[in-house]
Amino acid sequence: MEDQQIVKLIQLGKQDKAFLKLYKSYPKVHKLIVSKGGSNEDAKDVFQEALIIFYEKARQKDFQLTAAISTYLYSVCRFLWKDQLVKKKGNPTAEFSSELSSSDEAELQEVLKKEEQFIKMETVLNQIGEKCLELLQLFYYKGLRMKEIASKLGLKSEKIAKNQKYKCLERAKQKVQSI
Amino acid sequence: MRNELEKIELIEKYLRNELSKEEKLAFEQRMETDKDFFKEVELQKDIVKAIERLGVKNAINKAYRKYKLGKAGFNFGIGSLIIVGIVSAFIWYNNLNTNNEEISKEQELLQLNEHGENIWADADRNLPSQKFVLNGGNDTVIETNGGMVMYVPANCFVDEKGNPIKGEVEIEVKEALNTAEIIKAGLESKSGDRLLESAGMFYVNARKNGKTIHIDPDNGIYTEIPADDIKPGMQLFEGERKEDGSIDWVNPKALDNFLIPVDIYSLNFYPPGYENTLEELCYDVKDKSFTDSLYYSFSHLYSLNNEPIQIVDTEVNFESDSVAYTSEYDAIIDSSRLYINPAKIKSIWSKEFNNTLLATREFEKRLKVIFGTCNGLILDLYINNLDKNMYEIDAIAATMCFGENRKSFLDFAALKEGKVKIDESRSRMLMEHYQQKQLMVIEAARSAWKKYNEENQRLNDIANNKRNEQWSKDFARVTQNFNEELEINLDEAYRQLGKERPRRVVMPPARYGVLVINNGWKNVDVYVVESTVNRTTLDYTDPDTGKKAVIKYEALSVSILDRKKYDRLYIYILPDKVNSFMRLNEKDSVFTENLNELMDYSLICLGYIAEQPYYFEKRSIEATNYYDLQLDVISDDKLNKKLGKFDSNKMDDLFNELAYIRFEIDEEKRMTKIENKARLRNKIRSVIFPCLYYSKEYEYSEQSMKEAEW
Repeated sequence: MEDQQIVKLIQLGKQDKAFLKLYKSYPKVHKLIVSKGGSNEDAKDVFQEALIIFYEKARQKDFQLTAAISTYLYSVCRFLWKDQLVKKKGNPTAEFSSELSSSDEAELQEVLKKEEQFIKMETVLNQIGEKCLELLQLFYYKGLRMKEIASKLGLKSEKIAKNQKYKCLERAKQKVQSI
Repeated sequence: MRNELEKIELIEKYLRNELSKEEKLAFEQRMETDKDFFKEVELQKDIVKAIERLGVKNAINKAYRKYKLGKAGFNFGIGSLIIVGIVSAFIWYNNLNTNNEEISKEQELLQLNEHGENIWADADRNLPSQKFVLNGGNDTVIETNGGMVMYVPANCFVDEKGNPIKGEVEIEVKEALNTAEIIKAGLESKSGDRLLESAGMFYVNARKNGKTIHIDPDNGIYTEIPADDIKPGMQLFEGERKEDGSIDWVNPKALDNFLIPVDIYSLNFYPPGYENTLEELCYDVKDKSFTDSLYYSFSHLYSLNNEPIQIVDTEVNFESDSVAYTSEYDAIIDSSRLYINPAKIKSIWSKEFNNTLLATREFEKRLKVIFGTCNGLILDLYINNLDKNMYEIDAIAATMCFGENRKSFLDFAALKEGKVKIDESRSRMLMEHYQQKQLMVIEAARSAWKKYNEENQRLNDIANNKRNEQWSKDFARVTQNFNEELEINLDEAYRQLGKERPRRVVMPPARYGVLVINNGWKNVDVYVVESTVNRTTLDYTDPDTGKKAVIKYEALSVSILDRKKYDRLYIYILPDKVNSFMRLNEKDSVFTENLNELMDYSLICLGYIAEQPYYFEKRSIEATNYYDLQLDVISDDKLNKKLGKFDSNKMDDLFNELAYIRFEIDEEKRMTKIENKARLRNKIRSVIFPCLYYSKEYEYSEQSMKEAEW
């Protein structure tokens, strides 16, 4: 089944391919959000957020597929968009339910809270400088070894790269603490 | 700082489980007792997570872009162009669907309204009108709320007699571009017995002063409708009112796919890789006059088409690692297949071709492939068929090439892209214009190149003459210096010896190999001459009187701080008793000379970094070592003033020397410019003529491609 493949891709670290496949579910989401007062930009952002949430879930070792991924994504998007509308207008549209069980909704609320924190950090992290960001991403996201990173970024030695990494982390810490 | 970094390293080791059992225990205890420390650990954990999340976000963004690209490319195929030939009627834009099951769940069958007339009234009432006011005599583009774009050409509205209507015209548009609106409008989706899957409908009416006017059937309004779903086979239906009040949709017409011309100067007709290569070489690709003139200057290298290649110009033989066909055998190969002459591009990339097939984004795409074929005949094909549908020309182009290129043209043809309306006389005129202009461009390029070469040659000759002149002057000056110094030394020697100096001509051995001397005095003179020539100390004892003549020469050495940074460096000494300066020789970055104790010397150091002079001077120097002298920046003006302070004879020579140095600097600049230009042309040549400059690989692949084709 396609869904199983997607989960496997994510767990194997081949999430790029997985994301491309997952975009097949986008048109439905786009239609939903646009019909509920959202712009193209909103649809794009909401779907991306849902993908991030799904990705984190799928990476858990004990993750089990209980429904079709496209259904799940759609529900999450519904939930996210409702949440955004509530924030914007302060009054949820009457016939707009998220169609999720209450336990699922509760779980998503938690996830969303954490996500909001991360979104705040995101803007601050962009201030630490392009080179720092790149280095940190290569190490923490791509998982490259310091040797490879050193040669990729043109740093003279592994040790220097390691030191630079800590300096960048320090800068990031300072920036985040200031918000 | 250091402490902080070590702490970060420690925390990282903990988070990645790289601590030993004991270390881990100690760490966790610290977290328990030190709340601040605990917070720091959490913060670092979060930051790492946020970084990872950023990476995920980027990956998602990349996927989104890939996804969009796929969609957009596909979307391009629709075009969705319709001509509105009938005013005041409902027009369906539909996909004929004969299979009931294929109706998507979102479509619903509409209920017929029994009051036939009311259907129109309902639709009229339910759909809002959008009104646009425009000038009938101008080209206008209208965009509706739903995203429909209509290109209303000038003079497309006519009165009963068929005369074009100018002045204020009102356009009324109603649109129902999605299901909800169509249902609201109460409109049918049937054609006879068959169900239609609709993609949208619109209603257009035009009025002047309240009276409905007509659209010129020969003109028409080009319309684009936004459509989310790609549906091949879309057709245009006309709405026919029936007696029972329903509308039947009839007369399905294949859509005429018309292309929208754009300003030809907004398109890019350069060969692929041209602008990128220039950018890599750090040239300004935004300077259109530069990029144009460079590209077109290659027009004269090869002839136009179907003629044997004649290498017109020696520049092709410059040092480059590519080779062009030069033998007669090669000329037998059809030369037009090997390159696209830039003259062809110049001829079409001009406003005469605005509003033709060439002034479209669609043609811009094809041009890129045409460049890849290197076949000028394929390019000609499009220009000679401006009145045809693009897909027709694409199909013929496909037969004129093979492999990947053929596939590209076949793909283009499949898009069934249409034409740009043009009348016959104009298209004929443009074809002729195209032929003539190419020849003119080539001629212009040829004469420009000739002029460039001639000018360079002229300047080279002038420079050579100047150099010869300077060499002669310098030689004369050195000879003069020597003579003057010799006189002084002789006078002094004789004075020391207490004798009178006989007046005779003594020729320096440098000029003539022979010394004219009298007996008896010869020893003194010879020694003095030798000493002066070699600039070594004279120590002579008169054998008769025992008196001594001593003239000391002592060593001076000068070195300049940061010598390497100067492109040019000149060290001069100015003896007070001689009329000109002496230039010092350099060896291993040190300038040396022997100073005559009878004279007082001044030192001038002149350095150049590019055109900027640097200067140092010192009066009355000693015969010693001057280490690491520092030169200071000086303006040309000030430099002139400084040199002007020396006595007039020296001043003249110094200024002459300065003028010559400046001349050499300019010459170097000129030569560098020429070299850079040649280098640029070498690099660009193979981008502009990719098929012409072959390596062994190309030869091999040409052969194998031919085998594959036949």
